[in-house]
Amino acid sequence: MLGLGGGIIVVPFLTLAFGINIRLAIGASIIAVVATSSGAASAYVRERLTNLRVAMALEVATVTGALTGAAIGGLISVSLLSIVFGIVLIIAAAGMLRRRADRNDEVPPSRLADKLRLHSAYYDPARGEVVRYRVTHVPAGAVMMYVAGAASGLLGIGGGVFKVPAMDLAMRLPVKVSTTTSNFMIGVTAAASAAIYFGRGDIDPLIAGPVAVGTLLGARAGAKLLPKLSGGLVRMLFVIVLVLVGLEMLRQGI
Amino acid sequence: MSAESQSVKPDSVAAISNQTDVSEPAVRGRDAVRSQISEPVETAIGWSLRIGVAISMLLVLAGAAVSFIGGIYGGGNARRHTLTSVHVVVPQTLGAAFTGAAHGHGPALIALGCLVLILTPIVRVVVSVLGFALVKDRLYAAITLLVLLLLSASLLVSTL
Repeated sequence: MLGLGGGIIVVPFLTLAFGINIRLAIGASIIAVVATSSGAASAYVRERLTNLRVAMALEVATVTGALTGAAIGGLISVSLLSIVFGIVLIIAAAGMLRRRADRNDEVPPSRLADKLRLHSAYYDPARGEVVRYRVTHVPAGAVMMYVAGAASGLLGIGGGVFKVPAMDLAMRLPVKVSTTTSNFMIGVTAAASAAIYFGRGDIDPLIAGPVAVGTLLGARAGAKLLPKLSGGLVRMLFVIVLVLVGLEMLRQGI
Repeated sequence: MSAESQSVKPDSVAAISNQTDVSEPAVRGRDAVRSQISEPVETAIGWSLRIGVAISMLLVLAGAAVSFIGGIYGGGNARRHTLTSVHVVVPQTLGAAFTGAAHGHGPALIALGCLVLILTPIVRVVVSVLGFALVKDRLYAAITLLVLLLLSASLLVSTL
């Protein structure tokens, strides 16, 4: 629902509550991310919440990042990375908290955004009106997306926690658009890693199957709920998750 | 927000309801905004995801039903042990999943469902490439094609 994929919840739940082997838990969580993304994305695309152009343009950056991450994986200390990314997430949380008003006026003009035709509008049921918005700072957003892709490749996470702040802080997308667009994008990166996990035999059908069905149902419910929530609430929920994930990464790093 | 509220046709960007008519706005939901990309491409992307997810869920549920009947999920600590440890019955290739599923093997059916799920976002990218090419949106056809190539490259690199 928040554009994350739920991988951060599935792994601890399977290992702690059911005592399932960590490798199989990670495999199942990757499947969960793909299920969440695809399950919710069709609804968001239908509602025209997702900014498809932003998603497709930035997928170039995330997939390149994931490729780099996979290539340099093992060369960099994972605990150091966890600390760095943990700090980044907490700074991002502070930034997102500051942008609480979720306003999109006075957006600096961007020639690249014009050229890529990224500006768009969506209908917000919570406000009962059409919200038009402009997109800016595309190169900065692309760089952050590249880092997000590399982080997911290196740390084995979906990367939604990095994608939403990138679209929110740099490109100034409304929070509902950045969460749904992130949700749309994570399917592709997660599918690439899922294929690798499958080939390694890390995806046990008896575990991943039920997890996929469950997360899919959850994703459908979340997709119905999200448009109705106020942007401010979505933002607050996201900031809380960012801080929690950031602290958890710091803890793993230390 | 703009004064275009008199135009009710769904493809006008700012066709929003008159604020005085609170009970039944003229245009609500998705129809209040025009498709950002071409409408057929948007529809095709939505359906590619929906169909992929539906096929995958059918396979997973069928596989789970077969597994239940066959007693694979059946209780007992012996089974719990196999669920919580890494074991070798996992079909690791498309071929293995297919042959297993053809024999009505429950876990293989679920594995095939998982594979369809994994393929869904990739198929979505393929559909985008074709869709943008068909509506002659060269820029986005090129962008999505690049995504597809990078995706294939990352799959190749990581399976080597």
